[in-house]
Amino acid sequence: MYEQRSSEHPFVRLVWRAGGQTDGEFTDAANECWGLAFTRHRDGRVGAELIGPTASARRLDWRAGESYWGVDLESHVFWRGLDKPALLGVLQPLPVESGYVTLVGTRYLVPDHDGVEALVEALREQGVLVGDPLVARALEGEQPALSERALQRRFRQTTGLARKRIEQVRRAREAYRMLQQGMAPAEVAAATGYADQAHLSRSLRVFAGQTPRQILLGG
Amino acid sequence: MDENTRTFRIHVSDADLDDLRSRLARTRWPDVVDPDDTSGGVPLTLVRRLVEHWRDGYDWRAHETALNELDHRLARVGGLDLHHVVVPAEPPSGVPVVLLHGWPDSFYRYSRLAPLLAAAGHPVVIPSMPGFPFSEQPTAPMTVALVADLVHELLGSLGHERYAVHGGDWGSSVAEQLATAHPEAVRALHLTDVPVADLFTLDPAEVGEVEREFLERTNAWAEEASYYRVQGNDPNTLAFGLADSPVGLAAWLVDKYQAWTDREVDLDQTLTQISLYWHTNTIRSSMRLYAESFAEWSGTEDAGDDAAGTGDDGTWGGAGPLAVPTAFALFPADIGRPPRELAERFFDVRRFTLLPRGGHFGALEEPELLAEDLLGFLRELDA
Repeated sequence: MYEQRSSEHPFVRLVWRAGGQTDGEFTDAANECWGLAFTRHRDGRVGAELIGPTASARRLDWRAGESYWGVDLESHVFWRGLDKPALLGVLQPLPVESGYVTLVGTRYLVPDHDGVEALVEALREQGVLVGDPLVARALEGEQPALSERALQRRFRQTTGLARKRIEQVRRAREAYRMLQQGMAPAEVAAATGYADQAHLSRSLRVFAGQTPRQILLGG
Repeated sequence: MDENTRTFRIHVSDADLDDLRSRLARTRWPDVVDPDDTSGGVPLTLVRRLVEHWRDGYDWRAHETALNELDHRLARVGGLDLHHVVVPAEPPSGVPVVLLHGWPDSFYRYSRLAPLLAAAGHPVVIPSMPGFPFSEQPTAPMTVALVADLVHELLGSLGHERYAVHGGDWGSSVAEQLATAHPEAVRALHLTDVPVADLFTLDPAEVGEVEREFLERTNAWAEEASYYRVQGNDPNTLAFGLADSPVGLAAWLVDKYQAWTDREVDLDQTLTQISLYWHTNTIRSSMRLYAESFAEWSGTEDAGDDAAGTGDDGTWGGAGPLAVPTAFALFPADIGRPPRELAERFFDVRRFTLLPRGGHFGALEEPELLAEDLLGFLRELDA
């Protein structure tokens, strides 16, 4: 089982949960945003992980009887006080004690699936999660009043990734969504600005770990 | 128990209860256009519900009996009879813990928390601040420093040379003062807020963005918090109505109990607090800190120019963080949840927990959450 929902919180892109009765693995597509994931093990213990942005797809395991839930943050939202480069592409286990997870020195109750936004809001209030409005506007396609160099630096500071890389991941995700809806690969390539279908395929293999055909077939 | 201490039992006379009943029966209600209107303070419907329960449902004698299951004492300290509750640990294996209440509450705030701490091996002392139910008020100005001195003396008389302190509201101010004046005696602080006096030393223009946001929220709150101003500026004027009318008193206090929480007002708990104030006629004396402690702060400006002046870190007059290990446990519906970095300006912060439920009176609302955090902190310090 995997499901996701959108959110009213401006820092949250989506809240997801997963779990099943059999062991399995799935492909986690490239993601330019930061996230948090929680696990309830079969013995009731709770685990927490910080998810760093990743520029390529990765395989993740799941185990029968465990449940997983978490949040993907918006790309302009970043962590203050964390060593970002060291966390890129990493699932960093976080200390959990008596049901509380410690994040940048502060203890928060591990939320359930419905309580994720309250946690994000508390992290925002503590100044641990910060939204960068300038990066948000640039990602919307606006050209901020900054030199290209300064803007690049700002992207790296905020997100830990280069702007170009973020845009590549976003484009691949858009293409993925269109393919899932049944659009033909050639059309998708044209609509999302890939040079050709081969370019689209290469990109999706890196970012989503699948070919357009696999995605069309419901991978 | 030394010769300056005697046991105490709460007993409200039948005559006082009859007098209360007759006052409640003869209540003249204000003429309010919309009884549900919350924009002008506490709504009529809530006060009516509370007062009807006080009149027809609430059983003071039953609550009095329950309160008397605690070990109440009066100690002669600093020339005053200081009421306090002692909860022994069986067996005592941990550091004694002092629980400091604020306004508008009393020792009762900790009646649910104390047994949880005692069960974990910590002897507990709950002092009632001077001028609060069952403690005498001083004739000298009522300041945080005076309260802290009395509390420290009380603990010495109980044989506690070294203790941990938990507090909220005025209780956290007193806790901070105890750690400042007696760092050798205070093993640890566990607070539910950053003392308000500390916030006033920060210049919003000189702090980081997250702290500024918090200070702006606090200032916006202070703008609306008229009780704070009236109790500070015109306590006598206010006190005539509250001392003479149980309904006036109930409205003034329940306003705080409904505003600073994340749940429906617990009528019985709130009426116990209100009854404690009513039957001891302590509403006026309980407000003294609001007027008299501010006088103390403005007085410190004359203490010397060395300590004054704005520091690079945006504080003035501050001597940097206290040396006593400190934990914060913040309830979401309390008046404000400061960011950790703000607390670190004033305290040696070892633990900072955002609790998931509860408000300003969280010790009554969520005693288990609070006990777990406090006990976890004390265990960590011993590790």
